[in-house]
Amino acid sequence: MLRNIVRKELILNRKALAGAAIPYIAWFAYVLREPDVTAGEYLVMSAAMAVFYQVALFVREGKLKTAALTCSLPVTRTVVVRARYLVACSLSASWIGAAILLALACPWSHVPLARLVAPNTLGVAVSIVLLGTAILFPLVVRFGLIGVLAFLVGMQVLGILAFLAVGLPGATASVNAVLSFVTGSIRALHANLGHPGFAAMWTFVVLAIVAGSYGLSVCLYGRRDL
Amino acid sequence: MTEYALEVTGLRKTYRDFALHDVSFRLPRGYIMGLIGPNGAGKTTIIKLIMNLLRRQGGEVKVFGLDNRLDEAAAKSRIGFVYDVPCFYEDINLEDHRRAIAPFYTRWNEDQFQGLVREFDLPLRKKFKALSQGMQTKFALALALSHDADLLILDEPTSGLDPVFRRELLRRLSALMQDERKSVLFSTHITTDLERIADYITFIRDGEIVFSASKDELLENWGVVKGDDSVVAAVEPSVRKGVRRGPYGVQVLTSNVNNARERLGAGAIIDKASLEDIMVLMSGDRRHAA
Repeated sequence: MLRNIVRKELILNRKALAGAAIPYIAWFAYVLREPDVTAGEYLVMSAAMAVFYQVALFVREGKLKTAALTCSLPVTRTVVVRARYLVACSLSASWIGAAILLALACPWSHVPLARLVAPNTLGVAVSIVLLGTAILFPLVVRFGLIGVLAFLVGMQVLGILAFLAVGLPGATASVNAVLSFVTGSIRALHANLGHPGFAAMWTFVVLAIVAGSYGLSVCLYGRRDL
Repeated sequence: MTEYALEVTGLRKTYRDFALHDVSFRLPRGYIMGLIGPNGAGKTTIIKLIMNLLRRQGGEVKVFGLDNRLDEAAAKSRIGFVYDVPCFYEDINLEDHRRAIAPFYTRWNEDQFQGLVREFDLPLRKKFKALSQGMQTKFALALALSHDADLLILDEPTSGLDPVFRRELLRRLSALMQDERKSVLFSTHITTDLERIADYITFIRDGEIVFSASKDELLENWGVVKGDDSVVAAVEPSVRKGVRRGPYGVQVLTSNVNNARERLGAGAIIDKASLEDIMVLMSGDRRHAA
């Protein structure tokens, strides 16, 4: 049944997926023109886009009110959620693969292939995809489009607060410290993923977070009235 | 021992402004049950609870003895479902819907589906949103009838259909009953449809089951007493189910025409009650019923 749900999602959403991919690809092709963009930055941006790309697929269900169709089929809601995590991860992997191919195919690209396919660079990208999926999926499963919008609005509000806080006496240092922490963490992650011990521990942490997110999503979807 | 296609016991669901109270009824295998009631009575809520599209707050639903939550996939594989509001992907064509849905059913019959497509004149290459409401219902019916479902659950399936196809659908449902294995739960406002084909009628009002009985028993025993205000008191309160006052007199619905005849005498005007009479009089001014 898992295979049938995955198949159903891909058949009934393939036009939407293809339609959404075109502007994304155009944007990335444009990004590749920038000489200052590093391989890491390019792949991190691709990973972040991949999260929203696959989330958009499941937001469609809420918009078109098709959840009742899925849940009236002979399949449990747990399997539906499992299939969605599987589809999301597969789409994200395909998306990162497509981003790498795009960097190869674009004659104006400055990003070297060797840096793109470096295990630690790929590890950061995969981590962003999995953690982004883990954060956004329970929101999508429970609240649909509203959940995604609430997340985006929340991030915007945080950005505005940070922007306003910069103008306050003494707050600039705090905002900069937070931003430095985020970028520093990604750099540290990138550097440390080269060590097998750290990579194994990090993989375990990320998978545990995804498993927690999956459990929460199953619980939320099971309680949802359609 | 009677085998039941559907057993609903003590079903409860509460919303802020509406509640379903301890709904119970049983549909024996091989029969058609009509679910009737005014708008907002809870018909669609019951059907969604049976399909586990809503989370129940109490009670139990069994489909051929299978719990609709514990054995969800097995129970649903035996159900053909037609929704009151279409929930297909509007920008996807019918053929893609079939390709996505058919693999879920081990008993999917492609020849049957293609036969229905021809019979219903369904354009498989057209997007779902390009279809009229009637065609959308026909497509949902074609899917529901193509996997050899043992129980068909149809939520207002005839509301968007023209009279010719409505009659054809009823004929098809009656034909389906010939092998005595299939069962149908049919929610509708069009009570004449049920008079043609239903074996059982379940009437729901304000989230409560008013009765669930055999149609023949209802049509035989229930009647409408017509006259002036005096007939209200003349009908015994325990069998007085509804009263309606109009410009030409009073109509009293009774669940026991023989009792009413005995009490009112041979001169009384007592007509057989149609399902519409029952629905209208029971949904009407209930202040006079008690």
